Amino acid sequence: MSAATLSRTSGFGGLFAPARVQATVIQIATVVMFLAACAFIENFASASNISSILYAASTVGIAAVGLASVTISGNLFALSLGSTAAFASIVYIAASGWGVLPALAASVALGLVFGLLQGLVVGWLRCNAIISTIAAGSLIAGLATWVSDGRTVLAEGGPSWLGSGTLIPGVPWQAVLFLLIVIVGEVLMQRTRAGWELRLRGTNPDAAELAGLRVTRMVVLSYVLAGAGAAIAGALIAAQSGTGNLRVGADLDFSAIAAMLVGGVAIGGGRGRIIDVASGTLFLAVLTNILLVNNFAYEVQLMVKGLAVLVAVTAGALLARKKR
Amino acid sequence: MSAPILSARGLKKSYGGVRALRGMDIDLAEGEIHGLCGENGAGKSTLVKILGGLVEPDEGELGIGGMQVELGTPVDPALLSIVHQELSIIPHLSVLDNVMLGARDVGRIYRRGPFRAHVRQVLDSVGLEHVSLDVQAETLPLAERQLIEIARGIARGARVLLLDEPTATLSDGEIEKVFAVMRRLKAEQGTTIVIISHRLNEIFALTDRVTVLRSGQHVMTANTAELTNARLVEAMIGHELQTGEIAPSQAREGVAPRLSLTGWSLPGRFASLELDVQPGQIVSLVGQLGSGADTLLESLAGLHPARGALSLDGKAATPRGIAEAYAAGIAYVSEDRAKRGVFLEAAIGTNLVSQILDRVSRNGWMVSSDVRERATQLAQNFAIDPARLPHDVSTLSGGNQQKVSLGKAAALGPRLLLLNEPTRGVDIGARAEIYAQLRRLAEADGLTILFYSTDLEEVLDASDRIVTFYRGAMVRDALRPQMDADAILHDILHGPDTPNTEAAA
Repeated sequence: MSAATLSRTSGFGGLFAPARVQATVIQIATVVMFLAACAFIENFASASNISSILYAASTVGIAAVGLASVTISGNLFALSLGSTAAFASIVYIAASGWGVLPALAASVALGLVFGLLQGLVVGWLRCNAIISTIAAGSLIAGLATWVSDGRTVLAEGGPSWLGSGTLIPGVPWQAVLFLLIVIVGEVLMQRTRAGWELRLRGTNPDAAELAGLRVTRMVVLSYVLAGAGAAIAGALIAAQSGTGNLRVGADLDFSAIAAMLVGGVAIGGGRGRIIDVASGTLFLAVLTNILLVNNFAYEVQLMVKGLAVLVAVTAGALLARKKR
Repeated sequence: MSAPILSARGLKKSYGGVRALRGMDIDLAEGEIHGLCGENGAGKSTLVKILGGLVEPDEGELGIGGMQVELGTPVDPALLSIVHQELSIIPHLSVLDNVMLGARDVGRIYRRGPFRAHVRQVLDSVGLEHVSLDVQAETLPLAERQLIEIARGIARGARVLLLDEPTATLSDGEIEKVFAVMRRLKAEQGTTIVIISHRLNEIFALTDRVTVLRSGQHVMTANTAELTNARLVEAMIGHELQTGEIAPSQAREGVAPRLSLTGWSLPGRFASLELDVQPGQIVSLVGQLGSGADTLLESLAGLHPARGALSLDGKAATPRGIAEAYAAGIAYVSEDRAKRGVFLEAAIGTNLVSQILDRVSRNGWMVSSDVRERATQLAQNFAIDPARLPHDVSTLSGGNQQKVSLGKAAALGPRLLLLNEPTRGVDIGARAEIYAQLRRLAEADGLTILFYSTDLEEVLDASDRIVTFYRGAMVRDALRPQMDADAILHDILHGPDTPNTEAAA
């Protein structure tokens, strides 16, 4: 029995408990859809196609995991992820001369700082979470433009292992990093005191405050994680393309929100796990890839993604109503 | 009995697997006040919602005023009106608009003029002669808002009024006002009134007949005059109440005080006061809203910046925030269970250990065996089924939720436990369990308990010592045997007899 046992019903019934229905359905749907695509779509299962799915999933997924800590702690969304990623992509390329890991570290440091500042504004000064992060996003985008002069920065030298290297054919290093972050995030969220406090804060901020939980610290922490996630996503995109600019992460905010909500994280906070974020990300990545392979236009992909989020939100609302 | 004004037959309703009502019959006579009694989860609220057409039953029929009613669609408010448990007054609207809210004869464009005279008359009839039609509802005290809600039902000319715990948030003085209105309605207009209440003294004071529900079934309907308290309780819980009134322990002489307040005051809320409380004593702070008694309790938990000195076991420990209070060994349980007391959407076990996470973790990692052990132990202490630990608190009845709320505070092992309305909306069986556990904590661990309550029955049943308040000043501080309901009511409604009593200035 694990520490997580107290927070969910175990066994087969637990998978379909009202709080877990959506997450379970998406997990099953992802596997079924993937297997069906492998069977019926030519070249879908090829190493190059699997790898392109995983590239798309890794960047969005890592940003979504960071974002999920904000959502689960009860502060809806951070809407500054895209501009943080863009700035981080510029920093990554600019620092890539030092090597892959130092450049990645520099990007992450940038994300941590931006996250910390937003966390202090929301958690300590108690400003509105949505407005503050939109404002921060605008500020960060402005700063990035100023620093880069609005130009695209190009990496020196050839592609790096982080940009295009694979563990085995079809499994890029970026996907390995994504997997690691999901596992670490899941374990921290379910097994640590901070994870429990963060989740409890999400289910009921007032009760958490009155119970003497470290709510301010948890809120700040969640934004720090979101900033770091967005920065890693930006660095990975930069590593793939060898360029850093303001267009990186243009639709990262919505993609991350979509992945998280589709996976079964509740908008209201407190409900949902990091593995749900991973399954939501993979579900959308596989779905988008199927559309892509079948030559559906970008606008169709956008509409499908929008529809998927609407369905997820509706399902969440209906489940919540049924419980009352 | 003449033909009943309302008659329901075989009402059944299930939510998921839970059978809330399993075949309920009820008849209401014209012009009676009818009490609905039952523990939490007995099906009272479901019954009221079905009668009002807010919930569609799975089976059954309903007739009101001799007409068959279509179930699951809102009933004509001229026939039947519900006054809800949670106030449904819109704070920013005027009194007039609040009374007119939801009226059917308004037409497409709302012109207030034609309705003013009628609403004025209705307000006068519920004792709100002094309240202007155009004043905003939020400026009125809670009792008057509740009266406005009743006025809404009357304005629609309802022949049956259903009141779902109309007094849960009111103090005793205010409750009397509401009751007077109900008695007059019955006498003057022949209105049939159904009242749900957990306070049995209200049932006896007010009703003509009582219907008892248990586990979604009709247990009995009887004339109130022929009932005794014990018989009613037995019908509600299905067996005799084991504990009965808990014998209060006497104060011990020569024991150093656990809590000591000197010059403790909060300007505008309560005047400077001195108070010493011994270990193991259960003290109730009693007063109407605005008396300062509840604010005093909250200030002891560091929720208000009070002046003066607070010491625990002789050591200064004035808390400047809830975290400091917890660190000093002072625990606080909120009166607002759902919003501030518990984490409804988290597991019962998680809730129970939520305030002692530092003790069930090591280096930041939760230790699952410790979590399970502590949660199980707390559940047993507070009569919560340990098998339900993994389920969300929201799946519990109000009484059991309150046990969780108390359990998570008691987990801290405090030296001083502060309870704000310890059993609001809790049924009588769970109440006895809660009092018994509080008494155990006080006797075995020497825990000092202070509670604020607007429920006289609770004050008399659960305290060793009673401190009364009136308009921000302490009126009397006496041991339980020296106090009775009349004395308390006198203190909290009228204050001290002469300027020279022991009231702190």
